[in-house]
Amino acid sequence: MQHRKMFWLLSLVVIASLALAACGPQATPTPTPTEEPAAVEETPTVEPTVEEPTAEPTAEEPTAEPTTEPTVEAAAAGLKIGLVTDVGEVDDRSFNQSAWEGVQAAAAALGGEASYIETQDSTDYAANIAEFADNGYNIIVTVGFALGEATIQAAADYPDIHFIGVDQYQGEALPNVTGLVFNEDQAGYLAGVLAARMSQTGTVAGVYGTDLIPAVVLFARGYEAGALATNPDINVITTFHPGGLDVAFTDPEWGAQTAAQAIDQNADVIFGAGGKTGNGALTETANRTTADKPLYCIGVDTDQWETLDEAHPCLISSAMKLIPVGLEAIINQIVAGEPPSGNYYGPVGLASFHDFADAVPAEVQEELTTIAAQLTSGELATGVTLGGGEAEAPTEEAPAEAAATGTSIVTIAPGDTVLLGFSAALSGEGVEPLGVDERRGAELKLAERPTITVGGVEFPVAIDPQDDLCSGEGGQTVANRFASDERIVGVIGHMCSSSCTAAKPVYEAANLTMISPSCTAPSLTEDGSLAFNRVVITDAFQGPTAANFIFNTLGVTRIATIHDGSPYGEGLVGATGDAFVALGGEIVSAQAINVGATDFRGVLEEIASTDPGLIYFAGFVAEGAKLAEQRADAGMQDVYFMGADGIKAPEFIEAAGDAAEGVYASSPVPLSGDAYDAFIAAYTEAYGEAPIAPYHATAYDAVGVMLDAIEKVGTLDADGNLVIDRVALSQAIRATKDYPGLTGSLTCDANGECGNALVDVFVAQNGNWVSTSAE
Amino acid sequence: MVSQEANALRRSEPFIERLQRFGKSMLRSPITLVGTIIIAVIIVQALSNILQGEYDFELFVKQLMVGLAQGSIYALVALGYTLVYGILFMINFAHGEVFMAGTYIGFFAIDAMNKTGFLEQHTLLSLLIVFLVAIVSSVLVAVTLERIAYRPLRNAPRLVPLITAIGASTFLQRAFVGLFGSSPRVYPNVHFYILPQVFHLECNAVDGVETCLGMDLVSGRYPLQFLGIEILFRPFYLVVFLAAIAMMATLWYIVRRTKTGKAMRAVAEDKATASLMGINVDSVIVTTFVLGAALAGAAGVLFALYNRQVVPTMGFAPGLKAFTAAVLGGIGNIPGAAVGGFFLGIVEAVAPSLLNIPNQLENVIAFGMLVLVLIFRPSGILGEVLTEKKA
Repeated sequence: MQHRKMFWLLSLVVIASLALAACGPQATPTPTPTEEPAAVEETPTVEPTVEEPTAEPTAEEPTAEPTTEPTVEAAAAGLKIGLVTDVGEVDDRSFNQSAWEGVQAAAAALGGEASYIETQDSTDYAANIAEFADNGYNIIVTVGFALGEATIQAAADYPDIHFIGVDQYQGEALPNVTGLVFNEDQAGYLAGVLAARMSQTGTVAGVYGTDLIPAVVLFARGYEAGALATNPDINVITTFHPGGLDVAFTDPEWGAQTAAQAIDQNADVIFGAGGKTGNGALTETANRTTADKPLYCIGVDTDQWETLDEAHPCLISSAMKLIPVGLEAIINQIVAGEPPSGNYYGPVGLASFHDFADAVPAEVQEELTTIAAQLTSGELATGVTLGGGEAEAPTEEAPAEAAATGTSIVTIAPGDTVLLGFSAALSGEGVEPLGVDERRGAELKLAERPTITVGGVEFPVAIDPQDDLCSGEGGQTVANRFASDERIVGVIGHMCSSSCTAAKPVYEAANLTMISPSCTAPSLTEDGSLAFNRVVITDAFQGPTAANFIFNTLGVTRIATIHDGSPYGEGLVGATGDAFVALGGEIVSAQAINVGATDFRGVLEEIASTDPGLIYFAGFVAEGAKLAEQRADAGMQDVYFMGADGIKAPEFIEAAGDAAEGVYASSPVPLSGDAYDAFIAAYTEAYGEAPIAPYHATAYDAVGVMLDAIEKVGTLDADGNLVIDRVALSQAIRATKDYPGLTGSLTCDANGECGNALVDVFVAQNGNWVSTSAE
Repeated sequence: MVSQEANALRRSEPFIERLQRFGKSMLRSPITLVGTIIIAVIIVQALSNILQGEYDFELFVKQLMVGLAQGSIYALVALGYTLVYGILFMINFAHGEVFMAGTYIGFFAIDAMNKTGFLEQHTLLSLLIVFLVAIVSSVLVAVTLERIAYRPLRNAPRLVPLITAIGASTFLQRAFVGLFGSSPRVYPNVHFYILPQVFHLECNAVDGVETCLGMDLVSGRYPLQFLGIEILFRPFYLVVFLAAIAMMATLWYIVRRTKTGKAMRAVAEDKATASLMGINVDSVIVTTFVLGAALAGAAGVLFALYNRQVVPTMGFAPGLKAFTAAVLGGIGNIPGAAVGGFFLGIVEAVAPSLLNIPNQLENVIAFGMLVLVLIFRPSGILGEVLTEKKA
């Protein structure tokens, strides 16, 4: 009986492996950065307590119910401030607690009352905010970026109440919402100064969460800037976690390892910024410090002396976001009748030195106080050119259109260069020629048109080529780089759909716009995003031409469609079918087949029973050839067979043999014409070879469309600076009409589809594909 | 009157009892219940499609025909699985690649003969040569496989040769990709005409004199009136079907009626005792592999004459289906493999249209059938032939 059981098992294995095999070749790699970008600071992760917030009126801690006794006796000013914590307790020694302290202080000073609600579950955000709103509170503070959406929603529902979102960047300014955000680079700068002063070895290090998060990069660059400003000869080791957002902040082992490496390279001050990853670095440094060779570490966000006991042996200070100070200031302004909307940049500072107060020389402490004040007042800039607002005075409002990492306005001084980002795979087996070919196309456009003219003034144009490796991760990294570079006006790229998919949301957040010469995934333009445009046709582009040919040229009104389950096949059958039905045709049978199957006679018999005039197949050569051939077995040798560029290859004719004769296939026509010939000549002269891949022409056109749009939206300000609004730029690209491109006359639609190509229908005749229109 | 009533009662009792027993068995094993429900749903679905006129008899006959042809190929490959399993109790997962190897190497033979025109002049001889080349190639691959990959592991736990077989399967597939590339090779269109005197087909009238080539057994398609419907009949369907039956019968004869077969059965029953009786166990096992591989090679050429495109990965899907067919029919059982193959081929061709299910789910249907059959008949349609000593 033993082996009988085994068969059950084996059958399962077989089924599973078949399922896998069936999925395998069709799976399209779509990088999906699903993790919410975690902020540098760890969101308080205190376990939610089981019981409901109960009323415990004490002097220290107010009640959880907003309706119960106020903590701070109000002098009838009518000011009621409510605070909704992120999931966790209000005395978490971290964000919630510091925010609560700020609220309490403000309420005390202004004679109002203050209450808080501890959020037990992330689904309760809205309900907790509503609790305050419905009970007559005038100011509601929500803590942590996780509450951002609920806060905006509530602000719309309660326009009379002012909301303050701690660590919630406001992309769009609502009049009654203030985001309390911080200049991380300033905090990092202070840490850098401290590190440089404390280092004996002349080497300091920073261990960070991923560089995909601009705030982390700001901490790092600020730290470097501060250290170098203090000691120009200092060696700063900067290491970012190489992983994605899902692991970058929760990898203490990596943090410890990286800190150990830095210490082995002689670093004696370690700055750890990046949630648990940073904590790992701090703890490791604490473990390795000795009396002979003292090591120091610097924490981040809040005073980590309070939160990370393990780091006490080395923790000299923390680069803090001063939440209470910022909150108090905002509340004061609101009460004064001048509520700051948009974003309020809260001050940053170093935490107390605690046990190291004696170890840090008094003059260093003084220096730090001075620098902090200078940074706050704007007297001193960190010199870090990342993101928006860090050079602005803390109280200044961010522009309403500003996005997470940059404003939408690019200002270019007279004579300066208009810089376009360019992203493609410039290395890597198989993809490098494609990327190099695209870069050459873009360069040739610039060679031909090296300047743009706005208001009669010429500005030179250049591209900043970056290698995105044709991968999702690479695309995201390059996108972050461009998004944080204020000089970038727009982006030409990316090259691969995976890379485009990953980069798009980054550009969207930064109000940047991209024109891709080769990303063809249909999904890219389906979500109404302003960031993504393309000048390449999608797979479905041939649909209308094919439908027109079937209906009008062949005069067939009944077709059967077959696709192979691939995104290409499904998309194409959808596009052709829709167009065909729109013309008045009828789809009598819609079938799908499995890639790799060999016998399609069963399904062909079914198709034959519906008596179609043509079989339309969207797929590739192997299945197409079998279908074309086996249709004779179902008595359909005289029924037309038509496919698309997936089958328009010599291999199809070879594989289908006699059955290929008379098969139709639509396909984009290779470029030709005088303009293209001239382009090829220029290409060959410049690079010593003919184009090495197919996408040079689209890259060339992408640059052209971009430059036209820039000229359209660019304006000169009073000082002669070129001012470009990147949001307007994106709209201008989509307004492109009849741009004379190499690939045809380009007209963009509202979704950013600008591609054009000549599509022709070919027929297999005597072993060759022959154009039907050339006859 | 009394006796009549008693009779009626006696007659009805067994039925009620049977019903009760059936009910109890369902309660005992919920999976039987699930299986019954699924079958009921399938029947209702099929009936409603037929009654609504969405599935008619003509389509059924046509699909049955192509399903039988495809099933015959499965059956031929399944025989190899079942044979090796019946003797050695191991699943030779590389059997699909043995099938592929013969077909692929056979291509070079037929391609060469096609290019020189030999194929057209001496079609029968050419076909025989191709079959021979394919069979010899398959046999060589299988015997090498047995010697290198299986024999050293004969006394290892049962999972070990299974994993080796999967490894060997991948190795062979990749080796062929490496040697010959992954693009498809295409068998030529073969026209093999027989009996021009009987079948007045493929006729050409030249100057009023009509010459007929006869029936094209391989590539011909002829309309046929049949029970009031017209179908396009391809004689090759019949050829494949008959070939499968004939080979199955031969195999059955060898195993059951010859001395070699007796030795095989003895080895299956007890290797140690068989060797004590003077049976050369190694050579019996090699013979088993040779027989299975020869069938696979022949099946491969039939497959290629029919579907024409051959690729190094072509063995995977038919191999898997054939293995399924072997289990369906009752593994170790020679007629069972054939029945399982036909059944699977027919279900694949008929079920999507009959049940109005997307054709892409044909594999789901095929393997769903496997599960259903195993629920009700855990040892397959015809049952396993259990030569192993059983408790």
